[in-house]
Amino acid sequence: MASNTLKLIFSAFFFLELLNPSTVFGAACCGARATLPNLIVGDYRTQWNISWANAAITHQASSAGQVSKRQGNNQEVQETISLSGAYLISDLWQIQSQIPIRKNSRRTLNEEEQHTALGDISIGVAYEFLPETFYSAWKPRGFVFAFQNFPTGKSTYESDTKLGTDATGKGYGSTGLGLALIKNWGHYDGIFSSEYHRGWKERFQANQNTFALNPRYGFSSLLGAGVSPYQGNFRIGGTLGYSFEAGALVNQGRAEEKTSPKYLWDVGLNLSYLYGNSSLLFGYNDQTVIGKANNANLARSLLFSWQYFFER
Amino acid sequence: MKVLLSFPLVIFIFLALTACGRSPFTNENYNPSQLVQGQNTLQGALAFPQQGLFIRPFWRNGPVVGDEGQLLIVVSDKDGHPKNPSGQLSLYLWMPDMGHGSYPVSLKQIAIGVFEASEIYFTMDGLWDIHFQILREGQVLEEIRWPLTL
Repeated sequence: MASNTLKLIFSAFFFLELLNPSTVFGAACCGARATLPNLIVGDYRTQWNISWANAAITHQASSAGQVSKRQGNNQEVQETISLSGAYLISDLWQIQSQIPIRKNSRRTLNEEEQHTALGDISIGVAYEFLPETFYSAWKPRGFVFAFQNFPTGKSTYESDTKLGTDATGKGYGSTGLGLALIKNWGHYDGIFSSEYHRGWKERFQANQNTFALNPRYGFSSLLGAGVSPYQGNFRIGGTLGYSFEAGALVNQGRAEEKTSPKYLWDVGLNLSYLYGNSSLLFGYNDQTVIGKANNANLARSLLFSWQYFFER
Repeated sequence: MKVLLSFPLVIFIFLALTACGRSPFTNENYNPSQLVQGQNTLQGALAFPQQGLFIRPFWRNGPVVGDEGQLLIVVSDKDGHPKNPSGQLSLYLWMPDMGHGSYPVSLKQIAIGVFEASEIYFTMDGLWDIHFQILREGQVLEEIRWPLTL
């Protein structure tokens, strides 16, 4: 039963990873970047995960922090299908990777545009610095992780469609470090994760305009909790996340300008079910609940994922 | 093992092909009165001081988020006579808070000092700058920006 609980927590972890605004919710130009680890926490060697996320941009926050609802004449839906995997290379070390494919759809009064393309691929490595060797009522399992996002998707800086739906990536790479703590107490479990990342400088050519972008830094944190009623195969969980992206420096050859910082909160609910070596997860995430955001598009999202574990 | 590895890929491709582009959370109520319109805050004209020219833009359609905007641009001297700039007039959109631009604007000259800009797409609400440039051999001779909030 303990193994079941760990697998369900893992499901929750994967859910958190998928709640990553950079891969699922934020517009390619505007979503704050957060990356949470896709960790193996159970007694298995490898896992696969396939997920589908459907995010509708329902609100937007201005650079003055005013949140307003989008009208029906400006519909934007982002669907992300991700294939990801994690592999335990030793008892404490693991590697992971994620390949997203993204479909952006926009409808306005007189225009309709859709585009499907590869998003930004990421790889990562994690080390369990606090393994659960003996039972402890308070000591969590702890992981440190590092990740690298590659700008494999086209960005809004390179977009050449009218409504920008061909932008499926951020346009620049980023490297990050993070910490994750997990703990379960009988039916209940708790998760905390936090990461800090720095974006790589990049140059872009748009129209007659060449400019250099320095994305600077960002961070995100996430707190989650769940319960497996009767220690069965179901788990119900909730998450609260915060993402911050510092204002980027843009140099168009004249003077360097700083963009407005971006931040947002997101609240998630998820339900997972474990059967054999597989797990199904259904989730809902809402970035409009808290109502505090800046310079960001805010989404309401549905997520469905299936994962398969390979025992050691 | 090969089946186990290929199964996720098959599902992955299937899902990628069947994404519908719809959401239960979008507002499906199309209403032309709800178009996000910008405010035309320009008082008078924009000036290119080195060339002694003034630009007066007139919206034929827009400014609006998500649909095509069209702009009539009259370039004149200090006496108000239409005049061509000594160089190529160009314009592009830029969102300073976000640090990105938009689809390239099409610009066509229809008379001396009179230009028609089309395919002006503001992709989202917020502060936008329309940059007017005078170019010669790819170099920017003069540039002015017209801020608009949508």
